[in-house]
Amino acid sequence: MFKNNSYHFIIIFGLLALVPLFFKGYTVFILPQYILFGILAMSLAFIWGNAGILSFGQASFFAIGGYAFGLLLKFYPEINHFFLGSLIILFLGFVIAAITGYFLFSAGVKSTYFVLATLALSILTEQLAVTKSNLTGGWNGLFVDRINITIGDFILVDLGGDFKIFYLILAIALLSYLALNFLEKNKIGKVLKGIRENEDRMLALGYKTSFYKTLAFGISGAFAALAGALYATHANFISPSVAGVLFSTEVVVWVAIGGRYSLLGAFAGGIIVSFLSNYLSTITPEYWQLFLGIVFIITIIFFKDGLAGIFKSNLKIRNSNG
Amino acid sequence: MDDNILLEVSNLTKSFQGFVANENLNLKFRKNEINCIIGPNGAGKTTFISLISGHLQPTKGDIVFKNQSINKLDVMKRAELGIARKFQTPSVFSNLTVLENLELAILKKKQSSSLKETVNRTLELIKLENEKNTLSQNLSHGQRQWLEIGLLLGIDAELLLIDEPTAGMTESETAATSNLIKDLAKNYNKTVIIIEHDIAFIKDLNSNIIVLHLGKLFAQGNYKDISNNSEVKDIYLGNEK
Repeated sequence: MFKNNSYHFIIIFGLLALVPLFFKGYTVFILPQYILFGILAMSLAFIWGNAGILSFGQASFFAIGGYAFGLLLKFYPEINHFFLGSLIILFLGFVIAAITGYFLFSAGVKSTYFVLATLALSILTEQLAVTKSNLTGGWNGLFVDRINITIGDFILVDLGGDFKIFYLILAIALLSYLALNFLEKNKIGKVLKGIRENEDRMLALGYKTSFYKTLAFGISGAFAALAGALYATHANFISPSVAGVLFSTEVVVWVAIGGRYSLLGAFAGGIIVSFLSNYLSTITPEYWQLFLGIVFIITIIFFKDGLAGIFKSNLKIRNSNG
Repeated sequence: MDDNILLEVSNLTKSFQGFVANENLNLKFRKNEINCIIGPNGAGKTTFISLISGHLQPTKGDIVFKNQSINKLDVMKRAELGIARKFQTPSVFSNLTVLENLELAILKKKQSSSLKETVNRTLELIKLENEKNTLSQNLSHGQRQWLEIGLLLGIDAELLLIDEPTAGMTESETAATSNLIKDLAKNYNKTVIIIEHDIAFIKDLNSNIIVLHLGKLFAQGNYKDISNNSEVKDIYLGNEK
C-alpha cells in the first residue's frame, strides 16, 4: 500500500537515485528542482491530508524560504549556509506559518475562508517581492549563489556540479519524508486525523484543536521554506512568480493528482506533474495548461485520492484475489 | 460544598430570545452515582447537559464542578477537568477504526507506552474486542453508542453526560448498556447523568431520577417515588405507556 508499506518509498527514492547513473545533462540538472517541488507537495499533504486543511499559502512559504536564503547569502556571507542557514530557514518558515495559523485558527477560520486567507498570503508575498525591489530585485528576481557544504573554511562537499547537489537534494527529500512520516504516525498525526474527521468531538475530548492545527501549519511552512531555499540555491535564482497565485494553485494540483492522504503520493505528484508541465510546454506551448487542467478535473471527479488512491485500490484488489 | 458532591448547579437558567429552556435549577450530583433526567420533549433535558458540558453558556446561575466554578470555561477546558459528553447522535470518528478512535481519546491523558493496555481494557469494557479493526462507520448503531462511551472512558472523565444511550438499540444491547453504566459507577468511580426515555432501562439502573418539565425541576427521587407520583404520570410516564 502506497501509504503504509515501506517498499514504495524504497522504490521511489531508489529509482530517483538511479537517474544520474543513466541520464546526463538537463535531466540531472532539472530533476532536483522537481524533487524540491515534491517536498513542497509533501508539506501541503501533511496538513491537507491529515488535518483536512487546504492551504493555498505553501507557495508563499516556499518563496519566503528562497528569498530569505538568498538574502542570508548576500548579507551574511560568513555564516555556515548549509547547516546554520538551513536551520534559520526552517525556523523562519515555521514561525511565519505558525503566526499566520495562530491568528486564523484561533479566530475559527476554516474551509473556504482559510483557502481565501492563505491565497491572500501568497498574493501579499508576491507583492512584497515585487515592491521591495531594493532587496528582492523586483520582477527581475534575486540571484542566489550555489552553496557548498563547509565546516569553517574547509569545503566538505563542493556542490558546484549537478551530480552532488542532485544526491544532496534527494537525501534532504528522503529526510523530509521520514520526518513528516514519523510525525504522521505519532500523536500529532493521530490528533490531526481526529480533527479532520470530527473537530467538535476532539474539542469535547479536551484537545485544543487550534494548537495542533497551528503546530501542523508551522511544520508544513518549515518544510515548504526549506524546499524554497534549496530551490533558490540550485536554480541560482528566485523570482516573485514562485509566490504567486498560479504557482500556489499548481502545488494544490500536484497534491490532488498525487494523492493528499499519502506523503509519497504527493511527493510523486510534485515530481510527475512538474515534469509533465515542462514536457507539455515544450511540445505544445499554447495548450499544455489545458491538458494539465483536464488531468486535474479527471482526478478530482474520478480519483479523489489521486495516484496513491489508485495504487491502494489496485493492491487491495490484488490482495483479495491472491 | 460537601466533599461527596461532584457537581452542583444553583439557579441555573438558560433562555433563548425569551424562551426559557431551563429555569432556576438547583441540583446536586453525588460522586459515583447514576442520575437519570426524564421529561417530555421540550422539558430542557438536552439544554441542561449542554450547559454542564459547556456547549451552551447559562443566562444566569452557577455551575460548580469539583469545588470550582466552571461557568466561564469552554468545552475543551471542561473536558480537561473531567466532564465528558456522549451526544444524542453518536459522535465518533467515522473513517477511523474502533482502535484508532480509542487511541485518540486515550492519548489525551496517557503516553503512547501505556496505550495498548488501556485500549484493550476499554475494548473489553465496551464489548468491542472483536471489532477493534472495524471502521466505526460500519458498526451497528448500538455499537457506535458504546464506542462513544468508550471515548469518554478514554479521557478518564469523572462525570459522564450521556444523551439517550439506548436510542436505536435492541433489547439485548439495552440490557448490556445498563450493565455497562452500572459497572462504570460502581467499579470505575464514574458519576453519570443520563437523558433517557426508556422507562424499563431507567428502572433497571435503579438510579436517582430527576424530572424536568417546561425547563423547571418537577420531581426528584428513586424509581419508586417517581413512578408513584401521579403528577409525573400525568405529564410524562402516563403518556409513555
